[in-house]
Amino acid sequence: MRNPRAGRLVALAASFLAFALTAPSLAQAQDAVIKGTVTGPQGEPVEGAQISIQTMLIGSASNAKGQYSFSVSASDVKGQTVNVVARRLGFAAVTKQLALSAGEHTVDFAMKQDVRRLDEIVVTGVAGATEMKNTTISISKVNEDQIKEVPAQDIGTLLTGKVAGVEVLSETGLPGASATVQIRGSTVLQIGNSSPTYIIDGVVSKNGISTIDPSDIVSMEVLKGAASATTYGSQGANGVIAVTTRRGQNLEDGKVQFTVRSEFGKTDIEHYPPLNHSTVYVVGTDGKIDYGNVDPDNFMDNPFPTPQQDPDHYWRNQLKTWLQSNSVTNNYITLGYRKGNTNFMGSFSRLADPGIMPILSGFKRQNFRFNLDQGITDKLDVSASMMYGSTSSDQGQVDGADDFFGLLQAPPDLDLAHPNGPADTVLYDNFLPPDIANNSRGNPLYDLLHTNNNNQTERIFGAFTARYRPTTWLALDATYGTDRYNNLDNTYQFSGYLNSDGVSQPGSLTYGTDRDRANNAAINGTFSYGLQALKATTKVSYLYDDEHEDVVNTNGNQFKLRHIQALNAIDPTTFTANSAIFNTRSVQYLVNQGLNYNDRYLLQGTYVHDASSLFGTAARNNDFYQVSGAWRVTQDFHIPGFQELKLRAANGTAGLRPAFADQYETYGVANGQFSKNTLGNVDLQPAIQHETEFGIDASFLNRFDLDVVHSQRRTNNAFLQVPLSVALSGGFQSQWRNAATITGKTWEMALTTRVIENPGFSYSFSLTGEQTRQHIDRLDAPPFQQNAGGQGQGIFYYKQGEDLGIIYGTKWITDFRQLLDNPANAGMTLADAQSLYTKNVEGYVVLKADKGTANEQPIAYVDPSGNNKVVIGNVNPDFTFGWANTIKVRSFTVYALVSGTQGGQIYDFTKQWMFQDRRAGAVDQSGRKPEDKIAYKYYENVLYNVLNPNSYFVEDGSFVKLRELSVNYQFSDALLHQIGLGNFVRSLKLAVIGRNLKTWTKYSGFDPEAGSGGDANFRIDGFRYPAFRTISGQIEIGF
Amino acid sequence: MRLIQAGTLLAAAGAILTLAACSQDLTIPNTNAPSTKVANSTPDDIKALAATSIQTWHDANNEVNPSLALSVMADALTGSFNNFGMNLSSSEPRLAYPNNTTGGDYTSMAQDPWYNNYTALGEANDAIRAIDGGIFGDDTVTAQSYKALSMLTQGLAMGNIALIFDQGFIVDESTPVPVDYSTLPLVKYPVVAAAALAKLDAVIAATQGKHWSLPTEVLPLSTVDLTAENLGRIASTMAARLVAYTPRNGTENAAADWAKVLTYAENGISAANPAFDFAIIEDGGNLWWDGYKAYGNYGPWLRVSMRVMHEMNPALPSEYTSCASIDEDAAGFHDARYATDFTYKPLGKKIPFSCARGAWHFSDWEHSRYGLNAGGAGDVTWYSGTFTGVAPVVLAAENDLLWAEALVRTGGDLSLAATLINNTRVTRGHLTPATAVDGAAGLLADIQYEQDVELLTTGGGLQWYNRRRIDGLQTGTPRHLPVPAKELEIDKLPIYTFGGAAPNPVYPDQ
Repeated sequence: MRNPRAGRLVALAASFLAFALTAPSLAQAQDAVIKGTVTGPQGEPVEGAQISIQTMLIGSASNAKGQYSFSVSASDVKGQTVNVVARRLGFAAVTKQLALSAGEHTVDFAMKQDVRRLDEIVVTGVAGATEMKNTTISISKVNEDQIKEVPAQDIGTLLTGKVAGVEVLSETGLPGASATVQIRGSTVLQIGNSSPTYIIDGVVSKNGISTIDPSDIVSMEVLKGAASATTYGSQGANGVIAVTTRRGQNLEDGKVQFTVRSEFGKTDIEHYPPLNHSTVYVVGTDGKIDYGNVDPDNFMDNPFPTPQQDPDHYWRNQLKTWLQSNSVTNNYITLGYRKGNTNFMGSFSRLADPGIMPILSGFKRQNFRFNLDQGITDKLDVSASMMYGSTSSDQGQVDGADDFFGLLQAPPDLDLAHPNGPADTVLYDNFLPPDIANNSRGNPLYDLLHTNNNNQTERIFGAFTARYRPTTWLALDATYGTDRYNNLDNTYQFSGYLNSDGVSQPGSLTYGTDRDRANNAAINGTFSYGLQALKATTKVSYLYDDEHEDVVNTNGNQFKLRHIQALNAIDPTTFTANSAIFNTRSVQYLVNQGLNYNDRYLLQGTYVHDASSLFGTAARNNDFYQVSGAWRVTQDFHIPGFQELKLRAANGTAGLRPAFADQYETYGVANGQFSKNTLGNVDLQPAIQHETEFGIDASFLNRFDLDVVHSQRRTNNAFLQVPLSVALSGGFQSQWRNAATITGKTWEMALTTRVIENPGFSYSFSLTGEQTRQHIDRLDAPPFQQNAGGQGQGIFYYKQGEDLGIIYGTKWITDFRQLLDNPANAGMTLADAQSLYTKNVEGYVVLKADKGTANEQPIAYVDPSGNNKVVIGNVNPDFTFGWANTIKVRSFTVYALVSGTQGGQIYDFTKQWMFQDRRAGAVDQSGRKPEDKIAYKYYENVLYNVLNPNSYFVEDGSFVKLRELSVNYQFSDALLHQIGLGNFVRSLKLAVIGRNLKTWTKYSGFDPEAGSGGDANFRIDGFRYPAFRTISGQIEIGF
Repeated sequence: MRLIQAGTLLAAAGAILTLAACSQDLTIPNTNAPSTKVANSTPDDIKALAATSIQTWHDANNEVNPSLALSVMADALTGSFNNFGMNLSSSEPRLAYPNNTTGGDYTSMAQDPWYNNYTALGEANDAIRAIDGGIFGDDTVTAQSYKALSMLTQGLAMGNIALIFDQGFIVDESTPVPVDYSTLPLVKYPVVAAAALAKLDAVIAATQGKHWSLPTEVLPLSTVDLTAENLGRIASTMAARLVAYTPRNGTENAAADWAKVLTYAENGISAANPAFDFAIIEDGGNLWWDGYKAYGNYGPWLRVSMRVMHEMNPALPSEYTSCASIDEDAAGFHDARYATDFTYKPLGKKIPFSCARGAWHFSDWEHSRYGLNAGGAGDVTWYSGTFTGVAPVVLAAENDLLWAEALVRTGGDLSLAATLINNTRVTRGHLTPATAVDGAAGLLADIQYEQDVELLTTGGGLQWYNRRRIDGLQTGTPRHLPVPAKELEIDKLPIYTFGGAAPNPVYPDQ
């Protein structure tokens, strides 16, 4: 075992298991057999209900006919009274008492639907397994029936619009990219560090979620903030998403269950940004462009030739020409079996998503999963959850400022296949004729064809748990988890690769590897005890985790040998290599106390002690706490129309860990020279979020369930790399400090209802909405720019006292009065301003004398203090919402997910870049009245302005998106028999599924769902790979 | 029985927890980057640190920031791109320096020299502390030589601060760091210059009569070894420059201690045999690379200002008024250096300089004397340039010109002054020799011509230093840069700036 400490823990856990194994009781007399039928509201059989005696850890699941059966060994049959509970997703749990004696007992269950799932059990962030109705914290559960209609490509997408307070942003459409998930806003001032912690089958996932197949997921529990996620201590401040994967425990006893699901779809782009159809060059009477001569009127309003007038230089939509409709396939197979207290579930899936770029094959993912549960005795069971996943992608050069961008900017008047005419022998020649290709940046197709990118990842994830319940009041469990990740990145350009000048290059080769090994072990004890109506649960835990990561990157850019793709064929003088090792280790102790008085008054308290090598040596130990309570009012008072009313409040803390290098004093090492870098900080603590939340959970009119939550958060000691005075620090540039306080307020609302429920028709929906406001209360550092997206332009300027997400830049004057603020205009009156200036058709104030001339330009606002970089936008939406609808008409199910935002602005760098090369539709003057036309330099020089941020490119980011729509038909048992499949086919479902079908927005770019750096605070449209539409057909067969 | 079993289990769980709790060691070393303790632990580390310090200073002096912005502010070169702060710095009428932290090239043009010089200073101070602490033991020669090198960095780095900024911090090995602003405030440039001069004097004293030498790679001089004597001569020349170039205007220039300049120059790099250029050999852009020359000698990026071309050929305009190219008029040039150091490259159709950015940016000539630094074989191959040329920081000729000017300004030997000017005026330029008969004014004019033509694209900032002290900058051109906004924000000081000419906002130019 590589790590002796983790090894020792595993050994201890194994001994613990062996100890438990020595105490099985012997069978002596006749068993008790419990059997019966589970039916639904209309008397229909309910399949897949779990019937169990929880205190004995024994039970079974109902089959397609609703029947179930299980036995209790005679040694445990003592005439005692036990609770037999039936549970099924979407139904209220039903409990029946039974005096347990030898022989057969028939216990039938009639279940009622429970839209709000008050009886569902949650286990994350609570002392012991707790029914939703008895929770005191913000915990949301997403179940399989909410996510099964539209298989998602990543875990984040599954949550879109389903959980209030969870913002899911697909900032790029790049196949294989994970969506950004952010819960109740930010806890940091850096980019992309606001992701929640993912727990998979009880084990912290250290290596992201992109390699996990969401089809394996049966439920997710979401803890939204510090008051809920305190149990995760210094990993909880961004919230926690605990994922449970598919297991065999609910399968019918003794039968193998085999399911095959296959989906085949086509991709395309729903919306293209408007493009410029006119040229600024003189167009002759023959319709051909005189590329040497700019039209003296300076207006970009001359039509490009038709293909008949000039077969080489007519206008093409390069995006529509080259972005492709490709085929997506997603296949998923499961094999499950349960016999008595042994069950397993295996799955295999394969996803191939080529995306929309030409030439590339895109993203592929394969996953194997094997989950096993084994009851050793009625008091002891063990579980194993194992996953192997691998992904591959050849899209390394596509996203961001690379080939997609190149295609966006490609000149419209060239055939990119033969840009230099039919005689050019180089296919997709990288050299574009300079007279035509303004600011040529080469041919993106050449790069797509000749740069070989290869990204391979492998993931092994395992969770092994032993559970022992020696008494009814004590449960012990031990878990060992391992998360192993290998990544290889490889980029190759052959020797002879032509650059955009058409000059042969010596080639290049890059290899990068990243290996991560994370292990953790946990021991938990749960004590359940009670005194009359007071039930208490105490959980104590010890958690240890360590992680070892090493990265190596090598690069060389001069091949000595052609056509050899090996680093040893490279001129060693051009070779660079670097490597790094990151080791971390943490321990945590936890005590969680839950009190439940008669299911009316609920109280929970949590204390966590966290110690981590990531904290500075003088701040190694940190404590977190939580207190929460709830009152189920309707248990005490009858309120007409209300079936349930719960008031709850919670207050707690959770943290964030610094990055590996943050605490250390470091020197940079380059070219064999040392240079001072960061000053160490032995006092570096975790950032600590304090959260107070109040919530109302209500069920009323037998139909509606409403949760309303208000949360206030204060993240103290947020991390910041504080710049230092190099002179006064002796040469160090910066130091990581706990230097900021960020506050946030969130309102969340979730409404779930089954509007219509008839035997042949039902309609239900869930509506979630949220509003989050974030503010920088304290900044113990100078204000600073935050660069994100685009090409790193610092459009965010963080200052104490400001909201998070404010966009700064040049503001173009739209009101004459704004001119008077400029100190340089001292003495100017409004009348002066109006006599000198006028407004153009775009609403910008320009000099009268310049209007319509080549010199026309908007005027930059200067505030009374002389600042010309001012607030030009705010990315924070007024609210976001998700609306999931399910309509069932006999065997048909229609599912539609609509989500969107109101308010919040986007900075459109994509458009700004397109101004430089005259590609954006906004620069086209052909449709304007002569007096409204604006000269091309207004766009190309002033607004483009070397990508300096300005107010022209700030747009309203409101949108409504029909994100998912599916229609499926589930074959009934009778129909299956009728068509002759009934004997060997258990279930058959056909579906048509659409994703990203339609967006309603005023935003002019590809997609208002823009973001950057994995952070919803940076709504920047930075020529990312656009999200595309997929329409597919799906068949699912169960055997 | 059950209670006993549960008790046993609890005890076992307790034991596990206790054991686990006791066994955790949460101290993990960072093996990816050294700390001071690791980086400065051996004599070799300190040698490397001292060598790094002088190389960091070289970067501060001859990298693209601020040398390219200062060269266009002086109308020595011209460039219209926003890169390196060029466009705004050469706008007409002049604009104030935008002293802010919003980033980009304008921020870098002040931040880079500030941070790079103080980084160099921090490295030199650390090296001297270690040397004074006895890291070289009994090896006094090594201690002396590396201390002299480190002191040279101290003088040069603080000297650069005094030359470029209106104020700065005086930091040396005796300053306890980190230190607060309240303990160590900013002081004005003459005070910084005096502190820098004291360090250069210390180098001169420490090298006098010494016979050690430092390894070539420490400072890869192009023609001579890095002996104690040569190090002292470099220090002397740099001291002469510092005294001569610190003045911000004609008045301060007249009041400068020219006698001191004379003494320093007489002992500088052009004084004794052999005269040598303070020039480094580039190593392919690895450590030793001169960004000023690489860009300053590359036509698509920068051109020679028409002010200089007009000096060489008065028939040419001193500034373009339209965006059309001008005929070469090769015959109008009498200076032989026109043929060797300059190239006529009419801008033509595919021009990099947009007319919309102002015709004053235009020039049809590029400086090509150090073309090798820019790749060697013309414009197209610049990006594959080898960057292995000889890159002068201070030519021997510059020392000659300082010497000559000091002679003129102290009422010294005008014939010797003329001889010193003619070292390049006649030898390279084939122009009419300067003579004592030209008088002080004539000789000063010849000196200025040589400074513009002969010293073009050598040391970063040189033309700006020379133009400001004779009041030769365009109205509103900053005569020094403010302390960068980033430093002011860190020290919680108000942000200020310099420059600007009406109708643009006007701030003091010094």
